[in-house]
Amino acid sequence: MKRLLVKAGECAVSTDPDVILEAKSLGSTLGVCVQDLSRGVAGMAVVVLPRIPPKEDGTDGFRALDAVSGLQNLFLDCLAAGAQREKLDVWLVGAAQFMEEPKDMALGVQVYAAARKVLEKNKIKVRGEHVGGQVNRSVELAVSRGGLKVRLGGQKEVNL
Amino acid sequence: MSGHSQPDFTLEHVFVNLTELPTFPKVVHRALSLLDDPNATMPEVAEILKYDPSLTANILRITNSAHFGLSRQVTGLETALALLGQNQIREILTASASMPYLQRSLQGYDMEPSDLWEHSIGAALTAEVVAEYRGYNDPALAFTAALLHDIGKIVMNIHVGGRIDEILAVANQERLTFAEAEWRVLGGDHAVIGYEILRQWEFPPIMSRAVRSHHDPDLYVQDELSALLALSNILTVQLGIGVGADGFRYNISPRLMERLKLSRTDIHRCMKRALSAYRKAGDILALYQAAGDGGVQDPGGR
Repeated sequence: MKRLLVKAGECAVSTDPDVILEAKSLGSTLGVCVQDLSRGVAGMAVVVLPRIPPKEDGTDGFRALDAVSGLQNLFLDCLAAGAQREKLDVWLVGAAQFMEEPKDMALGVQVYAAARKVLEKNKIKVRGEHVGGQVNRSVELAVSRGGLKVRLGGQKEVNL
Repeated sequence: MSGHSQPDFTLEHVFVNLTELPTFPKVVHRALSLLDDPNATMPEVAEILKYDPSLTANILRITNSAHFGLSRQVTGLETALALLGQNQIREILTASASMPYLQRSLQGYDMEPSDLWEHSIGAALTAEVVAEYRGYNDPALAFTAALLHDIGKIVMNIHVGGRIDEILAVANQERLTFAEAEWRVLGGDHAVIGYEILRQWEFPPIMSRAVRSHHDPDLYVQDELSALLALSNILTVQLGIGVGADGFRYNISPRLMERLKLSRTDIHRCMKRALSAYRKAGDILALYQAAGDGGVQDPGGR
């Protein structure tokens, strides 16, 4: 199997059945995983910010810097690769939090809420999620298999 | 659990063992002192450094990183020093000298072999971004403090080692931060050890104090460098760069943003710029493969 690493602020889509999409050490960023198993399409975005900060020029080439552009790019890439919107499964992983954090510094909470808002606005349901808490996560999504694998702090594994 | 949760004064042994920790290269301290001397010249700085071949090699590798933006590949020390600014030279010297210490695996903190190097470089780049954003007068000092902020972990790792489960159990049961649980189980934490190491390495007191304070919400709001370092570490963890078992098990002071006069939007801007800087510094991160203990296929994975 070939591994395709998706870094913070990036998104990737594959139709290669031998590919596993992987995001390591998500921290407070949000891994958005998408799959149309019937069409053999899978995609992953690692979203960093709820929105692009005002007066900040562009995204510096990051395709998933914020929830709005990141989800838009991810879904458009999946559809362009042959996925059908109504058959897409969506999972959310990451968005870790510190034990106590001021609201304005709660990046995980902010980016999760922003992504949820985009998904709800577009009437896209979430099949499963593993988010929040003081847990650093990594995630894997195999193009040819349904479901995804979440690794917690490099130790335990959970299948969604 | 209570029988295991009392301090066992391991910290005493930690401080005894500090004498066995390799010292920070004296030539680098001498070079840094020369940079403060208005009468000193770059050839004099190069003269001090050139007799340490591994240090020189590290300096040239880091100098040629895209992060430092030189228009051509540099192969000689004197040329490198002539082309770089004072702050850049300071950052490169410290990073080069720190490489042997920061490229170690820390099983005690559940950190993979490349994690400490990635986290240290990530925090240093973030500190530089935040310092420049804030108009802090010495971004190179912020870079250096952040680069070395977790140096105490390499000593504590020996002692945390087999007791990581105990520390995490105490933290979970009593809802303690990782540092509080470290104190409860071991009688010390990596920030205190880091302070002592940097004091022995003769770094400025303001810097060792910032390292001492970087997980203590009451302390790090007391001065600007400490606040800046604490924030840089937090943002680096949130970006998922080199996160260990202790990663999110801390509290953030509600006064931190106020201390640095930063809004939520400011934080997001710094985060975006830090991520860009981190991506640009991919070749510095790749030095882990060149000089570390290997075994990692994609050290710049985040």
